[in-house]
Formats: sequence, C-alpha cells, structure tokens
Amino acid sequence: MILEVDTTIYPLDVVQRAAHVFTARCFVLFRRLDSNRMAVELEPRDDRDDVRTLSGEFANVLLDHTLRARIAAETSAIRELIVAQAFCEADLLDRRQMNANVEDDPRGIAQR
Amino acid sequence: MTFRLREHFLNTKPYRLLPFRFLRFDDARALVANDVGEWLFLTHAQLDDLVRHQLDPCSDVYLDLKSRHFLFDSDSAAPFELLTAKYRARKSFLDGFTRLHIFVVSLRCEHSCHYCQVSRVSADRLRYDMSEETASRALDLVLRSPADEIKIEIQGGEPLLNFDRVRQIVTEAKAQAGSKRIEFVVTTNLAAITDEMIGFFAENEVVVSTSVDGPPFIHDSNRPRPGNDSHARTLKGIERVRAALGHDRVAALMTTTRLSLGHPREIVDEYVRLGFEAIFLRPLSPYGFALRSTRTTGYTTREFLDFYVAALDYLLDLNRRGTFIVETYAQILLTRLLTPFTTGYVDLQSPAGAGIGAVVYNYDGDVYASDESRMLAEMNDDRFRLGNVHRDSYEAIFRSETLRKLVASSVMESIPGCCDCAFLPFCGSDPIFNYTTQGDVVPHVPTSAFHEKNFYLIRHLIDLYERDPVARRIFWSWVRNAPIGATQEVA
Repeated sequence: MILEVDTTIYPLDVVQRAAHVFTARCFVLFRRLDSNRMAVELEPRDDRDDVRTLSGEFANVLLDHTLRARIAAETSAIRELIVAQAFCEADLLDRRQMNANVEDDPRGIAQR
Repeated sequence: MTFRLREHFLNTKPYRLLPFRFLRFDDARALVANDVGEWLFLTHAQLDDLVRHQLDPCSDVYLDLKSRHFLFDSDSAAPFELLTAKYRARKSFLDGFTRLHIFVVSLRCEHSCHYCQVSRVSADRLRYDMSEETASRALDLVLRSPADEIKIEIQGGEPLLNFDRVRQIVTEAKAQAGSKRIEFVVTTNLAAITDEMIGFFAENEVVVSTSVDGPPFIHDSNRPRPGNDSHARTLKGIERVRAALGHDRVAALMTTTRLSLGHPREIVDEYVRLGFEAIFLRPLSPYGFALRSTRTTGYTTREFLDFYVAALDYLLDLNRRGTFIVETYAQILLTRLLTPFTTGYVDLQSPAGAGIGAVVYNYDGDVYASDESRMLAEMNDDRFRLGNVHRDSYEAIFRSETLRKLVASSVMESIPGCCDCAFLPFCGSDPIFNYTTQGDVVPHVPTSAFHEKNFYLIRHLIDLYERDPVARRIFWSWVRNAPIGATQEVA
C-alpha cells in the first residue's frame, strides 16, 4: 500500500513519527516524489491486516502527530525551561518580570 | 525605527499552552497529560479548541485545564514556579543517588525453581559464597552513597545458606552507618530458617521477603526442592518469623508461570488466607533460567494481562466486600497517576533506576547496574558490569561509561514512541529488559513487551478509575495503604 503525503502539510518529522507507530504491523519505506510530496509504503506484516483500515488509521495518526508538532512548537521551550529550572541550583526565571502581563513575553518564549 | 499602532502589540491569544501530551482514549474522549502527572479527559472537539486557542475562558474545562497547568493566562499565578516544583517532586527519586543496595551473598540454593534467574549451584559448593572481605569492601561503597536513607537487600541463591555473611553485613552496616538510616531486607525461601536467625532478625529489625506463588499445587510445582515441600516449609517459616518479628515484618512476592495463568483467584485467596494485605502480581522475567525454560513456563504478554485483569477484578471484589488487600503494581501506578509523589520502584523510572537507583554487589565482588544485568553476566554477557569492589573505586564504578550510557539510553523523552506518549509521566524505562528482549538498550516501542504491558495497565486503571466510583475509592485506599474508612477520605 502506497500513500502519497503532501509534505507542505505534513513535515517529514511528523510523517516519520506517524510511520514509526505502524512498524509493529508493517514494513515501512519512504520515497521522495518531488519537492512537495513523498510516498509512504506500508506493507502489512500480517496478510490478514486490512489495507484500507491501515490506510485510514495511518491518516488519523498523521493528523495526531501534526497536532503534537503544533503543541511542541508552542511549548517545547517552556518544557526545557521548566526541566532546567527544576534541576539547576540557580534561578533561571527572570524575576524582574514576575508581575508582567502574559502578553509581554519579554523572552519571546511563546513566539518561537 | 518603525512605529506601529497599539493593536499590533496586543496578544491575540487569550491564553498560552503549557507542555502536554495527548492520547485518543476512545471514540468520545482524548486524554491529556502533562509532565507533572496531571491528567484529564477532554472531548476530541475540546482538544482541538484547546490547541487552536479557542476555548471559552469561562468554561469549566478551561478552568480545569488552567488549574492543572495545561494553559496559563494573565491571571495565572506563578505557573512556571509551580510546574518546576512539581516536576522536581516527581523526579525526587534521583535525590540521594543510589538508595537500594543488593548483596548476593551466595549462589547456593536447595530449590530448583523453574523461573529462577540465578545460575543455580548445589548447596555444597562454597566457592559461590561471598567472602568476608568482599562484603566489607562492598559495604564501603554502600556507605559512600549520598542518600540519607538507604536499603540493603540481601539475597541469593538462598542467603540463609551463608548466614555468617548476612550477620556481618547487617552488623557492620549498622556500626558504620553514622547519620544514615538503613533498612535491611533479607529475601529468602525460609526453608533453612533457624531460631538463631530469627532472633538476629528481630534484634536488628530486619524485614523478611519470601516467595509465595499461590496454593501448594502451584507453589510446589513452580519451586521444587528435595521433599517437594517448599510451600509447607515457607508457611512454617512465615509463622515463625511473624511470631518473633511481627505480622507486618514478612512480605511475600509471587511469580506468574504458565500454571498460574489459569488460577488467579486461587492465588489471591492464598494470600488472603495467609493474612497478607498486599500481593505483587509479577510476570516472568526474561533472564537466566527463566529464559531457558520459556517453553514450559512462558507465556505471551497478552496472556499475562488477561491473568492480571482477572486477578485485579477479584481483588477489587474482595475489597468491596471488606477485605483490604492491595495489588502492589497497581498501587505503584496509581500513586503516580493520583499523587505528585514519586515511588521507589526502580524498574519503572525515567531515567532508569539501573545503577542510579539500585546496584548489585555479586558474591565475587562484581558490581552490576541491576539484578537483571547480573543475570545476563551469568549467561556470559557481562556488558553491564560496572566494576569490582576489589579493584575499582566508588568513582570508577558509579561514573563509569557503562552506567552513563545506560542512564542516557533510558530517558523516555529521547526514546521514539515514548517521547510522544501521554503516559510518559507514569511510566519508565528498563534498558536491560530492552537489550535482553530486543537486542538494544533503546526499545522498539511498537513491539516492546515492556511497553505493551505498562501501556495496557495504565490505560486499564485510568478507565476503571473514571467509570467505577467504587473502584475509585478502593484505588485511593491502595494509594494511602489504608482500608476505606480507616483514614479520612479525600476522594
């Protein structure tokens, strides 16, 4: 089963993460078709696995990983800051901005 | 310089997202969970609205998400400080470094348990006993641990066959402990227990851990010994130790074999009959002799999970009817799901507890990152050996490249599959298990038995908690480790 994926909608990282989920049930191969499209070949390991169902599941997982990428884009820097602050002995938070409005965002964390 | 209208600088987003992961739980719901272990259910539409910044700030779901650190707005009070403090609390198992120190004082054992992970040596081969000097040198390393509270667990083979060493370790550790608080556990089949040993345990507040696989027909089949009377001997030993040390100073563990799978109720009933208030439904480990006897004792993860769910259902039913008994693994998972606190369970941590949570000192002085890596060495694969107490310093052992690589490979945020999983804050990693079953310390999550088991159990517990109010109360009683009504309920 070969699925054509528009990489302007689904970045490569997203496609890879989605495909990884299926590696228990499928053999997976990627091919670049052109600058905006790639082919994802999913060959079921079990012949009894319905190709149409697999295709639909893959599309949904692709959507979910796109959503995860969107969440990560907005929050990964915050996560890094929290983990770093939790383990460091210094204070990484900018205390001068303790009373700042959330719209101020002096370090541009939410805009990365 | 370019001047812009004020509107250009106004934030069009009413709130900002904080880091979280999600899982499509079923057709109606998505589960969202963040790094500090907060979780709740949303509809799929609410999840989409959340990410698109379209949630109504006056809605209940918005307030729920805000109070649990999934989003923040201009009214949020110190969201980063709160998240940082909670994150640190969840990772507090790292504080103090290695807390569990396991001494393998002998490989000798008179049992021949089918699932034994040990290289069994018959009872007359003394050269497989830990020497006095080895024990002393190992203790020197133990007391270098920066933790204020440590646990020394003494096991084998059968440790009571080298009781002089048990006595030495406990006595010397107490003498040299200084300000450290040390808890002692001896893991024994109790077949060789004597009054002298019991007296020593009572005097030194040693906790005894033994194996009870279920009623005699299961226990004796799993754990053959000369005379085929393991169950009777174990029970007699439990009675004697309880009489001297107290009822709660004896704990029991069971190991699930193929024979066990068809008898979950009988196994639980045996624990209730023996007065235990906890049962740990443990699957077979893929190490040592357990691996070699897989054809006779082994089963699939799916088969184990079916057994586990049947036993859990029965345990919940018993609790409903007034018998307080906890399933230990569920208790560990529920503590992570329902509280901000860490657990001391080293086999389900991220980074993994190998070496940094627990360490093993073998009879010959070799030091291993875990009991499982010692098992591998017994099968001629010593890649996870950290050093030897006779040759290597504390720094050489605990800063070794072997340990660094193990730890680095076990951080779930860097493992494909784990990094996107909503259950990440409740789960952990076991690089030795991964290596043994899949050939790499980094797991292939979609085919990992470790993943299959834990994902299923966490999901099952969440599902039960959400739909069954009585199960919810029972789960809280397990988390508090007290029967319903014994303490003031908070949920």
